[in-house]
Amino acid sequence: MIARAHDPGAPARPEGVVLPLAFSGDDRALLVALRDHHPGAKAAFFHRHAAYVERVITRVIGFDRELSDIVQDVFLNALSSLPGLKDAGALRPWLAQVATRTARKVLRTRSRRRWLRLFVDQDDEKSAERVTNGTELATLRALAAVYSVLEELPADEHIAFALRFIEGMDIAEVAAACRVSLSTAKRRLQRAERGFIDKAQKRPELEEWLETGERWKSR
Amino acid sequence: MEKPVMPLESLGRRVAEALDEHALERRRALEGARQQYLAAAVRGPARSRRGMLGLATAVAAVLIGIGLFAHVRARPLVFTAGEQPGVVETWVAAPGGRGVPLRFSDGTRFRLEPSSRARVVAVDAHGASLALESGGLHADVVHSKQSAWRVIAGPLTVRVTGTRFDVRWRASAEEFSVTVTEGSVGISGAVVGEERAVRAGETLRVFVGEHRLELANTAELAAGERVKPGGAGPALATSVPEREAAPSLTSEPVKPDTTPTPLSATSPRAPDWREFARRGSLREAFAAAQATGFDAACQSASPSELLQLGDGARLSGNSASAKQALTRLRSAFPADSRRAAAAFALGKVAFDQTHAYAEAAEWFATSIREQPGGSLVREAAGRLIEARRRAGDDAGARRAAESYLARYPDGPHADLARSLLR
Repeated sequence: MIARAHDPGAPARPEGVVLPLAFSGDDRALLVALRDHHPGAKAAFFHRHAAYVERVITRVIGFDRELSDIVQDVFLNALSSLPGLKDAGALRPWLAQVATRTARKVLRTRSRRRWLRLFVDQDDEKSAERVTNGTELATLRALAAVYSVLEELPADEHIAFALRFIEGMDIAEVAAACRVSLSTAKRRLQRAERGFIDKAQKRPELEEWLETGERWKSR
Repeated sequence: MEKPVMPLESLGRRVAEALDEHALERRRALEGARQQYLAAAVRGPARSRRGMLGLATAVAAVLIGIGLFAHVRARPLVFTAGEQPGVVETWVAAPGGRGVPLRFSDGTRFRLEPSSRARVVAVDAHGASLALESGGLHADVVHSKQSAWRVIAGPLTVRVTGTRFDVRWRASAEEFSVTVTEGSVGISGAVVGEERAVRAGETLRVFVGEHRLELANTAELAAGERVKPGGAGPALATSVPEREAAPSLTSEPVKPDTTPTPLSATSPRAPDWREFARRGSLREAFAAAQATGFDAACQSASPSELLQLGDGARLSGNSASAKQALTRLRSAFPADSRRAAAAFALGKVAFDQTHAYAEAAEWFATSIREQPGGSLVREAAGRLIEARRRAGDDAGARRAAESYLARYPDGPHADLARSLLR
């Protein structure tokens, strides 16, 4: 469970594994427990917020083969940054900041390699169809194109765009996650939108997505 | 440059939906992250916690003479899992070649058998609750008037009244067993219903999918015989209470229901499907009913027999016949108390065999609604979460998760439920 926590068919690990799980108490109690170095709290911290962190990371950088490492880094970074968290009630927004900061480092340092790219190669469509579990190839190509375009933007604009339009944050939340002022977030988003549209219009894979339900208009 | 009229929100939604298509790969990545994170973040602090605990214990020992020992005794028990300090809701996975001991501070010992998995879901001053996810657990419990220990295995709960026993749960086969060596335990849950005692020298086996249970003298079971009615313990009825005094235990050798029971060489005729059903050989009952006409068998069957035919068909992989028998029970006997069990079984057919998850969710919900206090309701509530999630009904899955946690915060599906509510 568990996991799949309830997978009776899963093979046993090579040695006995002890993995603490949930902690009872709200986020304020959790923060106190984390600062007291209660081991159950650290595990519960992950258990409670991992899905959210993973979603933010995936929205920003796309599905990535190093996702598990990146998510782990977010939580380890968060543990080391705990003294900086003043408001225990804002644990999740603060965690979004840590995730955003970690994603920014990833975007800035890595080269252009994406799991999706391996499966949209023209010469390898059959294996793409096999491994995509039913996802249409066109959708996969479009998804790869979105993140390819985003990669061409500066990291700050890439992140602002992904948080705003893919994760669905409002501008204030984007500003908080990026730890910038509202006006800075707006400027980044404006530049990101212009840059994305300009590049995306040149990508035939995105033609259908860009025109879904709306028409491009001159203003 | 042309400016869009808000197309980016819809593009963003499509991106998010496309990413969600890779939910399985993402869950695997998340599990990998969890293992790495816990290895890096938990073990180090756990050692320092153990150091703190040792100091606290020493201080407590010094304070015994001035009467603070009672205060220490009221604190929750502490335990170790293998060589590591235990943490409430610790997930323990024993390797293939050796077991993992769980040692509690009152002297109680559990041993998780090789290739088994369990969690300590709660600990207080008087005992603990453990969830056996799969495999076997040996228990050696220090009994006192106040001790309170529980082992949850699938849809069954073992309440420990003392002191030494072995419990096994095979989730894939839905088979449970408990063998008591000393003292007694109380078993409640699926098929068993209200709590029943199992005493030293007895073994209780519950075949959840077949609605059947067997209580036997352990020594005789090991020797290959069942206990005769009126022998070492009370003969418990199976889930076929059509005849209240129906003996489930005969002098025939015990055979696992996964293998066909051979026809007796001394029988003057081949048993009909009802005889197989009375013995609890459900696959054979279904096969025999098919041989003589399944439709006719369903038409003439009583509610409990229809439940058995349905389970026999389901266990034989024949979803159509399973549905036929189970829906006949529900339509022909609308007032029968087994309707809810039939609904649960139909849910399992839809989920496990035809992969019709929305339909499965409807059946599990129906089962819960029709018998909210029944022995299968916890399992149905857990499977409802799974079915709705598989059917893409995220909101419905979350509602089911909230309802499940309100009733069964330590249940087998609690982790799944919590994961949906984050």
